[in-house]
Amino acid sequence: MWEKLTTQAITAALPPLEQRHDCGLILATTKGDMQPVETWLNADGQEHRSSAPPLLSDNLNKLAQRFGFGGPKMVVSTACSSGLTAIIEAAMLVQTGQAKQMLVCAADIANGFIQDGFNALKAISKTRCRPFDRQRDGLALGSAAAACLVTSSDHPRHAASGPSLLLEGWGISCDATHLTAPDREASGLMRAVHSAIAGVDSRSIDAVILHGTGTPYNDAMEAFAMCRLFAHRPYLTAAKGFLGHTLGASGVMETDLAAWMLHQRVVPAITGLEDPQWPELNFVRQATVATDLKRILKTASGFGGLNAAILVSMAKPAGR
Amino acid sequence: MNDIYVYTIIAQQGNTPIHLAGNNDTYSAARPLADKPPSLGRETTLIAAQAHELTALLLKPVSIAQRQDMGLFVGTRFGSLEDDRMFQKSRLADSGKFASPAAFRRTLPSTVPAELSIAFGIRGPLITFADSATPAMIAIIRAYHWIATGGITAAVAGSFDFLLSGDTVSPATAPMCRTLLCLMATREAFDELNPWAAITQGAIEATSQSAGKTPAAPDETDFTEIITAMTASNLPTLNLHRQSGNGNTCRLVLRVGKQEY
Repeated sequence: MWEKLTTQAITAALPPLEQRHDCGLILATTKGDMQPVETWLNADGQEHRSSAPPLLSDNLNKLAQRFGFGGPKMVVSTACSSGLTAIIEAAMLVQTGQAKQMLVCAADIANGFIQDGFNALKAISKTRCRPFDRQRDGLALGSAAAACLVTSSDHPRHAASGPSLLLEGWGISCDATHLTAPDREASGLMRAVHSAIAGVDSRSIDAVILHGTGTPYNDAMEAFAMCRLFAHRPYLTAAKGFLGHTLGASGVMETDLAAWMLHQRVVPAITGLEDPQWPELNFVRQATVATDLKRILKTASGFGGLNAAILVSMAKPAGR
Repeated sequence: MNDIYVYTIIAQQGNTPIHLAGNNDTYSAARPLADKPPSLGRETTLIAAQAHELTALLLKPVSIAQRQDMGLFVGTRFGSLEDDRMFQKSRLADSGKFASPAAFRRTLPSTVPAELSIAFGIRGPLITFADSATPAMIAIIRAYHWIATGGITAAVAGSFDFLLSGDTVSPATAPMCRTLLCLMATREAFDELNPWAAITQGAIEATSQSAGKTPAAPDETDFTEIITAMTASNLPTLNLHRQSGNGNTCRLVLRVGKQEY
């Protein structure tokens, strides 16, 4: 499943062959392909166990070899903020001239190891994922890979590329409070957002795609931050009610969603949200046509109190 | 790109004496790793304890206020494999009835750095990189670029790993933890401290050799190379140049010596 998903995702965002020699690759993941890891772990103490343990970076090497990426290659693993962190790292590598373009592939598989772990933490919903709902009781896991290509604004875009985004700002921060629980006062998330929107009038942010896991504490933390940050009440949406929580892949998947939203001028509803716990916020309960949609903030938070945020808008069409 | 200063590098493998390069030479004693700081919880691994102890020494001259916006950039080869083993053991016992939540929450390569951020109040960007050969250099180079481009003014960067001996992770190998960390910043960030060296160049570059070469020996990473460079402080310039396990070449150029500043 890992190979199939990552291959499909990379293929969809892959630059033409003649550009791949100077295109780098960042793999964003929490655990990578767990199948060889579990095989290795299960052979603990047995004679047939291979001597070399599988490494997270093995996943990157296989993908880099298969597709022939010639630029810098890295694995970024920052829990559920991995996808956004990888986009930010890719942007910095391009911005500082270390790469002409970077392909970010974010992937995670919700196998038995992951499911048993979230079950043990009692973080999985007994019914369905209902982000920001009064009755929310946990997340729904998903398996996915998603990819995007990060280039400088003057780099020629190839014809097959989909709608492009302009990355206007970014921020990464730590809560520094707890390994699994978010900071209730959202100080870490707010610092990441402040960095991402620095120099921009916060009232110009039209929509926010929240992390929105459907767990009681994460959603409360994010709602707290939105109340504090945006008095003008932008559209608030979240995708994990219909996509599931795809862990390290979620940041890139939901950035792809931002591109779709800006292209279609539509803000999707939060699947599963029926009775918002914070009615004062503008949670989207029905898909909304927003002709004036220009700027979207995407946030992510993960275990360890890791937060990331990016601010995106529609890029000018190629050639202008 | 502006020069970025390295104030201290600290490193330890197992219970060997702590290596240190910098302006504070008081940390030479080897310490046993049996005592885990109680603040890290009962599930804490030895590598977390070692990383905790070295970070405490590294950040001794840095105030709590100065740590607020610091970054933490850490590379690792094995990541959370030891914690994965602990959780797997718990979930396979009695049909998964006793899968340990405390063990599961540690099964991420970013767990140890996150614990450091919690313990020491580091609240800037935290990024964990996985690489089979140059985990420390990748982290240091990325920290260099974050500081040089103005994203942050200071960072802790380096690598941690719990070494695997042959094909086993056993109590006998427990002391084989390896941590290397350095304190990096602009010259203005710590004007009361003397820098040990300046990083004048840092790059992760593509190499003509193909990716996928995983070093065969368990200890074949950049750790030893950096220690060697640290101890060769009579050299005015250090050029660290090494192929990573991911098919890159990591390049770091340091100018050493207080007279340079």
